[in-house]
Amino acid sequence: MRTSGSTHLATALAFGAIALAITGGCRSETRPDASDDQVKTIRVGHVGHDHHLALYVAALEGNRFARDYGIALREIKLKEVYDLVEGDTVRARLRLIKVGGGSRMPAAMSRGEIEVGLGGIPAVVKFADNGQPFKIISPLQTDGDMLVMQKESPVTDWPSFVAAARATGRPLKIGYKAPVAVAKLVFERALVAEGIAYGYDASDTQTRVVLVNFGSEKSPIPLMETRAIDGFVMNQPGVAVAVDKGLGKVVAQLRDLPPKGKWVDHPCCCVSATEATLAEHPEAVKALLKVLILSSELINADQDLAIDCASRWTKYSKDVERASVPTIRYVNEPTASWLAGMKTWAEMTREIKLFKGRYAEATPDEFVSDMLSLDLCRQAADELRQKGLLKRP
Amino acid sequence: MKPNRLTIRVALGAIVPLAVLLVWHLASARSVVVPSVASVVGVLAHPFREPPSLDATSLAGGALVSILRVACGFALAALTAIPVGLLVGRCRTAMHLLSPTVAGAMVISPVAWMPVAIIVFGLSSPATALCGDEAWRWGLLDQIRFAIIAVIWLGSFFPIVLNTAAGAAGVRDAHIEAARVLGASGRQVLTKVVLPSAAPSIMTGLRVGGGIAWRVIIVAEIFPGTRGGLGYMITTAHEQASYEYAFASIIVIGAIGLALDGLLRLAALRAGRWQVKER
Amino acid sequence: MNDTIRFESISKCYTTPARGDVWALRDLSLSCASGQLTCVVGPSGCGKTTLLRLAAGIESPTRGRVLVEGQPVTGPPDGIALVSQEGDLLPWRRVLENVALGLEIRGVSQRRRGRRARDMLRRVHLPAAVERSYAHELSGGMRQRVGLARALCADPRVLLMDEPFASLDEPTRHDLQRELLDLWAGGDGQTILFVTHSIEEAVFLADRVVVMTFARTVADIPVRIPRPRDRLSQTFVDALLQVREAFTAHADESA
Repeated sequence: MRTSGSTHLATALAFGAIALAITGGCRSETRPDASDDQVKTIRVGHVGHDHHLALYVAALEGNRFARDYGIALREIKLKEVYDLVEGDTVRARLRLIKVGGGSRMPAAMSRGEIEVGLGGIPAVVKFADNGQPFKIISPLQTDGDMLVMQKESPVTDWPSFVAAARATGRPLKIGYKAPVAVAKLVFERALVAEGIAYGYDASDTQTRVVLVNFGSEKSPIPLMETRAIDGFVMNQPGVAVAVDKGLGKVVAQLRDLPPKGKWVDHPCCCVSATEATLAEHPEAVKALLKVLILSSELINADQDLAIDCASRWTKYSKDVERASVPTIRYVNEPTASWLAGMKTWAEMTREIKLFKGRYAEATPDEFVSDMLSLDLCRQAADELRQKGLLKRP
Repeated sequence: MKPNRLTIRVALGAIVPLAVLLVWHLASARSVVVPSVASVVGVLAHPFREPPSLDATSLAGGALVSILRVACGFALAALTAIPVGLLVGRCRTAMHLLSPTVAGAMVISPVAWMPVAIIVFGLSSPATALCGDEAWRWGLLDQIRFAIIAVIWLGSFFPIVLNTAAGAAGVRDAHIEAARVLGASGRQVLTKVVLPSAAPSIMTGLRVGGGIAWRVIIVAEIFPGTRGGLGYMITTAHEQASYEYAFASIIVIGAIGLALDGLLRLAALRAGRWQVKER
Repeated sequence: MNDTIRFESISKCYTTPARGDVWALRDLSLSCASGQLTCVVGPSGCGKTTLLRLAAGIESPTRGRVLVEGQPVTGPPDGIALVSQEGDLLPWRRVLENVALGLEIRGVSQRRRGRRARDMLRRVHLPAAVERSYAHELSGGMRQRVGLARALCADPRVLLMDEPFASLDEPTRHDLQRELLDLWAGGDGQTILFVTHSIEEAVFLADRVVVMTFARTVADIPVRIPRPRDRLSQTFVDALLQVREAFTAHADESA
């Protein structure tokens, strides 16, 4: 039987598709770059929203950084590949990989897909607790977590929320993003401090606040629109997006929740790395930290620029970023306040027995000294100060 | 003048989509989550434009990536499943060996394998396999992640095996003997009798497998590390509350799925032409 | 002795789930001389189809051996062709491709085998338009003609025919019998082993009629009437009666 015409067509299509795949996407527009034989590639995982703005500002403002600071990220491929250049030396080639939030980042690091990760502290520590050789090497940002309630809700602030929760009648349903999300943990401790019974089971008559998981990839918006929840606790920019869509109002910043003062500057995201990376590429990591420190300073000094960069990178609208960025504190140096926040956080996790492995029995001090590896960060800050690049003393 | 049959048919076929459109329009007026028809049309009208309010490639780019992934996974599945199916259909030992596993594995949703696939393959792709750190230069090739291919393969493989085996088992001995008597070698029996005889069943398997492959890709692309594909677009659109992109993606997914099924159905008809009127 | 086909004390046993061991052939010996048309006649189920399948090499005997052209048969031998009752045309191939199948298997070029196939279709008196049809579009008689054409197209030295005209109506059957004889006469002297349950067909066609009853042969009757044979002639009728007598004499043994 002769090969039929349709077989020829199918074969041709198959080869065509393969040829397209290989040629169509390869050798995309790139600028001529430095010799890339010996330069090590460091893959940096990030989440893609404005908590990691320090990285994005540095990436988008490479020219300014080079001009003003002498250390910069030089774009090779937008949003994906950058050369980390200090003076005339290329310290490393950075591959930025949007791995996602929560436990996705440490999971990727544990699989060897990234060497450095930007992400939420609880997830990183959980993996370290399980035995992964991760270290937190720098703060990234704090705050930026809110409690949002339905627009027509009588609740307007924390005291009125507490009152509403204590009132008889049906319990309040509050959504959260993930079991170990910072916002949720802080919120829970606040409820405990107020003596409000909370739980996950709506049928339990004792519960005054029911926590509802809306999943880390989905957003609270559908549940807010259908009134399935009365409110939610979440990080920016999720809060700003919901408010921007007219689906809620911010009633409290989680930093203000009781116990009073405990959650100010509560750590949210950090920069973490594998022990191996720290051992093998300290200079490159230090250079990256320098860039992030400078970037945070820039963000704090020029909010308009920060908002513009945030919008350009994340593709959230400028309105959303304008509502979101100012509520986030970008910190890339281990200040005393941040360290205190870490200790507080370690205490809390101990109280709720979050860790069952390496840190199960650790005291907050032990935890901090073991989990954090801040030498490179401090060195980076010192070197910048010596050059007079840091305005903050 | 009475309207002719074609007009009636077209009119009837259009009723449901129009009703859906109406309901959609009404719903969007009172909802934040449901985007307006106009906004979705706006997205569809500019398939090559990079979305201004979404961290993703253009709609056409996303479609291309998804199609390529499905094509690779599905092609791999067909290439591996057809020989296995033929073996299972023609050899008792193979059948006893493999049938229970195939039947059992088939009922497991391929997406359930995704975490395992991530652990095994991570973010690797043909590009990373070929040129490691420089993989990012190979745009599309780097987007074809092995983990996603594996999941698609898992989804399409088993129905193709099962249907191929059924077709192979159903080959009439008389046909095989006729060829053997005329001097056909084992390989010739396979290519000239078994394969063409089993072709309609194989095509059925391919059709089922193809449908599953396309449905799976959307969910598989939710997983991390990739910035391309229609599934990624939907997830990100939900995250960033740019729902018009989610809706537009869904429409594109439906259209492509329809086209894919239509193509496979056409191929199935051609392969089974001789079967149609067999008494 | 110029025996193209030899069955030497063959026995064939089938194990069926319903009836246990069934002996289709018991210690049967038979030889077919080169260039002769031998007919095997017997009631349904007497094992004559098994005989052909053994000669064709698609089954092997439980005991004894089969030789074709002096070589023991271990698989389908060279130079044979089989025409069966249902035609066994490959339904996904058009008529021309079916007819050319044997040549295709042998690697003959597409043009040459197309030519030969068309030639063969002509010789079995099929119109040229038929060549693009599928098997299911043809009548029974046409299908059998195609089957015959396919067998002959392969240029066999031995032709095995298993009740090829049984499912056809009488006029068509008579037509095809005549055509077979014409083709055979115009060919290179093939050896034909023709199985049938019709005594009349056997007498019309054969140089020699072998009567079979269950699992064995019981008579071997030469037919020396010159061809073309007249069914109504006395010699024909005599031969017919002779065969029939041998047939019925052993018919009681079938039980």
